[in-house]
Amino acid sequence: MNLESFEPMDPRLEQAVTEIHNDEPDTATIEAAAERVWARLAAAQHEGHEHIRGCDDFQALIPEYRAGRLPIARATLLKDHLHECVACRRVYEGRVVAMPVASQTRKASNTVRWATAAGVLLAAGLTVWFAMDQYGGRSGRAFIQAVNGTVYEVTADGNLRPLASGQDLPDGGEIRTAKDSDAMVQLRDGSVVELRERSGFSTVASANDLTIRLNRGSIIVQAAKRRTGHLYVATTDCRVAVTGTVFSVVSGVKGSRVSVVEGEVHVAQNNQDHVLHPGDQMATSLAIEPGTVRDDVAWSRNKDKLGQQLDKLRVSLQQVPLPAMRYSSKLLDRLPAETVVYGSIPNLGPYLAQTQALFGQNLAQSPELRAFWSTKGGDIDRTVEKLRAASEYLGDEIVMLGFAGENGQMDGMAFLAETKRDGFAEFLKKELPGAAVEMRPGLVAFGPHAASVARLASALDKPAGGFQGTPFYARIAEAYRNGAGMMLAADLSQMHNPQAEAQGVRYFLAEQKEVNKEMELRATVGFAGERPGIAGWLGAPAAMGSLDYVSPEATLVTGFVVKDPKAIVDQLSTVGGNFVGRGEGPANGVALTKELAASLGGEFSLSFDGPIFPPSWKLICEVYDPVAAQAALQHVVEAFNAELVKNGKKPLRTATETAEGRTYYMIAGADPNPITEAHYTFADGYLIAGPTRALISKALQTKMAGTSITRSSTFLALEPRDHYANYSALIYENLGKTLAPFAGLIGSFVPPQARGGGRGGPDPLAAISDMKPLLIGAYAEGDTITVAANGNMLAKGMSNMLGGNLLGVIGSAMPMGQMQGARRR
Amino acid sequence: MAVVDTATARPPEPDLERMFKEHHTLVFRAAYRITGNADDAEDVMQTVFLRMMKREPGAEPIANLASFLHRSAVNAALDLARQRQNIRNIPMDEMEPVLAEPAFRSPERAHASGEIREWLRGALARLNPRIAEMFSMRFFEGKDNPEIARLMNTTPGTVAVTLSRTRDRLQKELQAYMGGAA
Repeated sequence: MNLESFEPMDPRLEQAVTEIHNDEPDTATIEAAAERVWARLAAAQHEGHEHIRGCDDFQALIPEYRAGRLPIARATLLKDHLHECVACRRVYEGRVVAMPVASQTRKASNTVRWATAAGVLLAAGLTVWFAMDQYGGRSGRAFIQAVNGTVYEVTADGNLRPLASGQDLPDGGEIRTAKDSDAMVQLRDGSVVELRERSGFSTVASANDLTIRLNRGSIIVQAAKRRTGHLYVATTDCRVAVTGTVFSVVSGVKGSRVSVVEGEVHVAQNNQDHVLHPGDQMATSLAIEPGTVRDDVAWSRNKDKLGQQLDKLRVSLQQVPLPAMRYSSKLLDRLPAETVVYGSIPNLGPYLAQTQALFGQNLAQSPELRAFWSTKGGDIDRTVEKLRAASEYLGDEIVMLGFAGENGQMDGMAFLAETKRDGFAEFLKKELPGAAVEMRPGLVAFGPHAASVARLASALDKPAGGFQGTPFYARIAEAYRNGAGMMLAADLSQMHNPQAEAQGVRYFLAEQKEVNKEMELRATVGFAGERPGIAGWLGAPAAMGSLDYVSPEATLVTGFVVKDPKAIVDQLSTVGGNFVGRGEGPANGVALTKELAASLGGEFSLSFDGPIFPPSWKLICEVYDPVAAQAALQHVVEAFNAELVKNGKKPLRTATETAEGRTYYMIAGADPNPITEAHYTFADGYLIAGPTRALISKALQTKMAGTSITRSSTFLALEPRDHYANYSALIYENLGKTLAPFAGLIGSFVPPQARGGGRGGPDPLAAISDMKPLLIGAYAEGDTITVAANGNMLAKGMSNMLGGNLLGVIGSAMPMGQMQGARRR
Repeated sequence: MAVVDTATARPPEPDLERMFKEHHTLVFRAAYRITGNADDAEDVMQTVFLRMMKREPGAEPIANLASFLHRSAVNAALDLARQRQNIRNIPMDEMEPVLAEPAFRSPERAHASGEIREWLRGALARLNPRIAEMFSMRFFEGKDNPEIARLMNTTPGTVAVTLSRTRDRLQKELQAYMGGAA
């Protein structure tokens, strides 16, 4: 470089100049950039033939460009235009409101306005109170107050940088929430912005003003009071000016909607200024129907503050330990021989006292809970207080008894407990004047039926009641040895229940207990001799290799270990008949069934493991002889086809294909239809069948990778804890995950008032969405079957037990009734 | 500003592809020297050729295409640098140095030539666009004063005086930036 004509340059500056002069990018970088640029130019050349006639057309593209939906060619043209056109760039930056096609401003009617204003008062009040209470006033600092989910900054280079609660906000950067996320952000002027999911904004400060540039989504703004300047919210088509108000702004592809909760806002659009008051709403486009202010703020996290308080209370109450398990009972030996129903609960006095105290603390701290409890609490307080007072007289355990009466009917219930101090009889007569009470040294018998109480009291007069030595006593004593929490047992053989007799059921025993702060539920059914019917199919607990082919994404999984595979084949034969829609079997069906059964092992699983449609069913059967199994299946199909053809119907289609050294088979309905296709193959001693070959391949990959459902944390967390290493059968469901989107879709078409039968009852669609994963295990041993699950049904079970609702107790004890799910560990 | 009606504009520039093939390297390199990174240089390259594509059909013919594109690249790159910095321009007669960065950096950092390069690029973006263009063409692109004068429709003497004053000013700014490390 020739610098001779100048005075000597500062050597550092000269060095920098020289380095820049010599700074040469490599050819590969240049050519790669050129290739990309030329592709965009070519596209823009083509796009240029379509109509972009001037600044109005470019400005009309800005919303799509912001939303990232503009085709690359148009984006290139717009980007270039924004570089060179100051007017359009100001619109893009939100400094000037664009002048879109004239649209009619809509306002809700007065009635709706005041109704919605009243409706949102609670949400608004909560928002303001919550923000002020939790975060105080202005701090001069812009930061993330709270995050639920993910919030990130879109950096200047287009990358995303996650932000955490408490983190300062970068100046000028866009803050954006991810799906299923929301955030509370405090700005420098003390205003609080709540962002809904998939929303983004940035701020621009100038002189005394602060502008929130809402790029997308919805925000609720609680504007701080200002002495000077304004807070503005700018969208692509309007600008909102406020001081000290609460309002929401929704910015979408179709336009914007402003809803005012509190105070007054001025909305500038199309060179016109509109003043909105609480309950007012304004849309900038005819394509946006006016909604309600309530709907526009319904997503606010503060709206659910009551729910959060209740959740907090529930968690607190769960921390209160239940009484310790009991490993023996002094009362059990004193019972009369004719005892047919036995229930046992621990004395919950200390538990109730702690619960009451904790509940009181939460009520004192939460006005929302107090209001809720004053209207919904009813007589629960008084009832709990009576129970707690009664428990102070009684020992560690209270048992509930039922005696066999004439004609197999059960007499009324009676209760038995040890006494810790005198005065219980007087207490009971005062609280329950109609109750019968019989006191014995150290013991009290009481209940609503005097005859039953007298019968129990007479047994107490003997050294041993006669219950010892009965098989029913032995079952209960065994339960104590394993630790008892709440227990309910019934000797059905003495109760002349026709249904139970037909099933050969002899007794039923349900237990719920807390182990390591987790609730366990277990129900055992004992049979008289061999287990009959379906109960008899189950084999002793054994390993289930079939589950190795089921992925953690499965929504419904069943697995069985069977004593006799013929039982499965019988069932499959029925399904097969229904499958082809005929319900007809071949004449030699029994022989074919035996042929197929001879090749099968003793284990299978059926699951739904993939998309809902076509149904991603997956059947895994243990097969001892794959060749014989395939031959038997072929014979079954041939026999079916012969039968179908004889009846003038189309036969099933079959096919065989070899891929990557593995043979895949197909059996399908006569007419091509993905629902009537079944593909299967044999691998490692199992038959793997599903509706598509892809699903089978995925099953094989799951097995090979060792990533099956039995390794998933969700599944493992739900497994009941006991001494069994295996199951005889299991049912696992995670339907909520799959059905929630459909429930939401259906729910959007059902008016809120029509849900729950229109009577304010539970919303079944919401219940579907809320379903949590559940695992029920079953163990078959000799003449018993035990089912077990983790869950917390204490309240319901206790309520039923104290109310003497035996069926209710059984119902709540059976895990299948708890499809709402178990508590996660 | 005037906006090209792309619907009624003349058919795609038949020579655009040839023009792009012949000059894209020149444009990219010029842009790269001023912006200091390939991404920005790519943006500049796109801007320059997009503007060529949108030229009015009746626009005056370009006598020296290479020089024109070279100057376009320098200006577009300086525009981009200015946008990134989002700062006001300093007029030519404003002689007092303006601190773009906090002073009193550590000597170790200040002496790093990479940092001075970045500082120089930032300083150029703060200059009057015409002066920045002149400086870039003289010192980054290596053009001599007569050629710069011809391209910018001025005299070689004006170019020399302007460059001299600019150099002096940048040296003062550099010393201030170094915070005593000089």
